[in-house]
Parts: sequence; structure tokens; C-alpha cells
Amino acid sequence: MRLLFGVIRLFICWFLWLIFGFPSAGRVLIDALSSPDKNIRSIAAMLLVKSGKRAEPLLLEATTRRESLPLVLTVLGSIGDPAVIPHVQQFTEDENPSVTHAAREALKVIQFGAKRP
Amino acid sequence: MPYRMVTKPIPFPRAFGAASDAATLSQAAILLIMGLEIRRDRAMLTHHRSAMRTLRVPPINTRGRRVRMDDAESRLGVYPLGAERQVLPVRRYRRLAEDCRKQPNPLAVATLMEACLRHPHDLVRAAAAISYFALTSEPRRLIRILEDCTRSDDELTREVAATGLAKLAPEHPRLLELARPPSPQTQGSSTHTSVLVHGTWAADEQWWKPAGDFHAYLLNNCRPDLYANADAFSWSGAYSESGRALAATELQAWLGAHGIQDPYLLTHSHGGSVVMLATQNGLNTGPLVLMSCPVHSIYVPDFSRTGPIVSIRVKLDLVILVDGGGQKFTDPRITERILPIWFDHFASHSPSVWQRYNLCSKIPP
Repeated sequence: MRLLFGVIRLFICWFLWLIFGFPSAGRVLIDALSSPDKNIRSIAAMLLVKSGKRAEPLLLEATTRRESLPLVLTVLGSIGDPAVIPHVQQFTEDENPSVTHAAREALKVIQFGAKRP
Repeated sequence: MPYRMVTKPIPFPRAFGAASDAATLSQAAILLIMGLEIRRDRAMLTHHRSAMRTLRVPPINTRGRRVRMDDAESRLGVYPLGAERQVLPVRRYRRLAEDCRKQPNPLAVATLMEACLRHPHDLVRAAAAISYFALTSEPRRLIRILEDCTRSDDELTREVAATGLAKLAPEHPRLLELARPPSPQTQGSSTHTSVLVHGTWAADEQWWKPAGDFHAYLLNNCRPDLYANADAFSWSGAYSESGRALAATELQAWLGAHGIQDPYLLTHSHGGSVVMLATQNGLNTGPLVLMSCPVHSIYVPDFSRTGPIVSIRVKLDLVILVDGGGQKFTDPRITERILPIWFDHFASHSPSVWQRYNLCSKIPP
């Protein structure tokens, strides 16, 4: 039941953020990326990807705070916007191997997507 | 599966109204004693008189009569035993046991045993199959249940089932398999190399990596041929078509580089989509196990290139709901295994869920 409420909360915040642009509602999605529940983490990440480029400012801000960094980088890679390549690139030599790996994979996905018809 | 130590067994019929370890073990013991009564095994009944009193097993006299399977099934209102096991609520078992206590006639006993053949715990299923053998008109199907239970994750269930099988069908080929000492060549059930493919967002997670909990569970209980070197296959885990398309080419390259042909693939979530794309690109695989895989029309396997396919999923998976995919594969070539669990996308790769529902025996060999 807690999971169900958690998902409903994410959806409400997502709608508030998309429709009214409340930044605090968008922040809830970013915070959910570090939830202990994998279902909540996954759903928040999927909603951010579904928001497309609109989510990028929130995600880039999260990278500067190093919040849930590997997952945030994977979300950026999933959105596939070549404009974020320079930002993602700076994490390819990070001291944390999980971050390095996520950044490199995200770059590969963005570059692969850009080449696809 | 280690059981909690039982210091106080639960008597009949109360044992059938609970789902604890003590209840499960008590149910199995009661059913086995009922089997002695059905077979009128006086020597063993005398031997277990004290246990019968403690467990309050009702006196049963079936007079050697066999109960028609249809009668028991129609009284129970269940389908015949088939590929999909019907799950009955615990209160139903309690009510059937209560009926049996009030009127321990052959039909009441047969109905309880018929219900226990559908029990969620395989130890109870094995005990029911052994005891019901002398009472049902269709004993052959019970052999299949026992054979199935010899592959249980639970050692006690395996022992009980194998002993029952040896008594009821001493020529059964499964007994020869069990008697054969394992050797490096015969360990495991196939010549494939198994490979685990994680899903979206999971590249950084531990469960699928060698020494991760699910990897270790599969390796030790289901797939001794599971790839276990440090350079296990991984992909970006990106939530995009591009990410999956890239992963499909990477999977083919990884398998080629490791000289692995026709791998047995176990996948979670969109890891299944990655594999299905790879088969469209020409990858040949052995059996394919899809765990919580979202159903999308663009991700279908090339059936001419895959072995048997099993899809294991929970009910109303919330992550798949958000993903927008379906849950049910409509192609009859994909066998569906639906777990009696709701919402949780990750339950399908939980070792405890695999153990509880004996999923090792539900995937292709």
C-alpha cells in the first residue's frame, strides 16, 4: 500500500510540475531518485525521461549537487539530447567508478541515438 | 529452505488455517498420517499413535474405496490440475479441514487432499500427493506432482517427494537421475552457458552481478552454468529505444567475444526487450526467461532463433504501468507464470520469491 501511495504522490507532483511548473514538485521527482524503494526510483526516473528536455535543468542541477549521480546521468542519457554531452563528459573521469561508467554509457547512448534515423 | 524450529505443532484442523512454518510442517505431517489411515497401515499407525493424538488427526475409514477425481474437484469448485496451479485462500483450507473433522468420510478427505495438491507450499503438495494416492481414482497425476517436488528448492520437500516417488513408482526415471552421483559434466541440466541480463536503471545495481544475491541464488540453485566472471554482460540501462538498440548490438558482440553460442538467457524488465531485439538482429539463443518484461509490439523475439520462452511476472506491475507496456504476452509460444504478488516490479528477481514459488522448476531445463 505504501508503494501505491508513493506512486500516486509521484504522479501528482509530475502533473503539478508539468502543468503549473512548480519547481518544488519537480524536485520531488529528483529526490525520489534516491528512494530506498527501487519501484519508486524507477518510476521517478521514467517520469523524468518522459518529460524530455524539460527535465534537463532539474537533472543538471542535481549533477552539480552530485545527487544520485549514476542514475541522473543514465536519465540524461535516456533523454538523448546531444546538448548535454559537454556536461556529461566532465563525469567520464570521475573518481567514483559508478559515476564514470554511467557517464560513459550515457554518452554512448546519446551518440548512438543521434546517429539513428 | 531452513524452517523455524517447531516446538509446538499445530493440531488439526487449526493447522490448515495458518501459513507459518509450524503450520506448513504440521499440515504435511497430518496429511501423511491420514495417508497411513487410508492405506490402513496398522503397524505405522500404532507407531505414530502419540503424534496422532498431539496433532488430533481424525479417525478415517475409507474402506478401500476410491473417490472419483471429478467428484472431489466439483465439490471444491476447481479446475483439473494443469500447467497453471489454482491458488486457494488459506481460509478455504481451514474450512475443508473443519468439514473433514466433522464428517471424516472419503469425499471430505479427498476434497481436502485435492485442495492440498494446489497448496502454495510444495511440501504440503508432496505430502498430499503421497497420501491421496490410495484414495483418488486418478493417481497417475500425483506422480507428476511428486516428480516436480523432487526439484524443489527445499531439501525436506525433495527428500519427502523422492521417498514417496520411490514407494509409489519405483521404476520412475527421475529416481535414477537422483541416484546418479553428480559429476562436473552432469551438474546442471543443460549444455548452455546462462547469462543474466539486467533491466533499465540497473547497471549500477548488485543483484545481477557475480556474487550479487540473485546471481548467487541462480548459480547455486538453478543454473550452475551461469556466467560468473567479473566481466559479466552489462548495458547502459537507459530508458530509451536507442539505449536498448545499442544494448542489443553490445550483447551480440559480448557473446561473440566470449565464444558463447545459444546462451540460456535470464532477463529482467527491458533486459528482455534487449534480448528480443538481438534475436531480430540474428542472435540465436537457447531458452529465454523474461522476468517482469514489459510487452511492446516492437519487442518481439524471432521465435525461429530462440528456445522455449517463459515470462514470469507479478500482477499489476506499477513500473510497467508507468512504462506504458502490457504485461501479458499473447503469443502462445511464450509460457506465462503469474506470481500471486501485486505491484512490485522487482519481486521477480528476488531470491526469496524464487525460493517460495519454486521458480527454478518453472523455467526451461
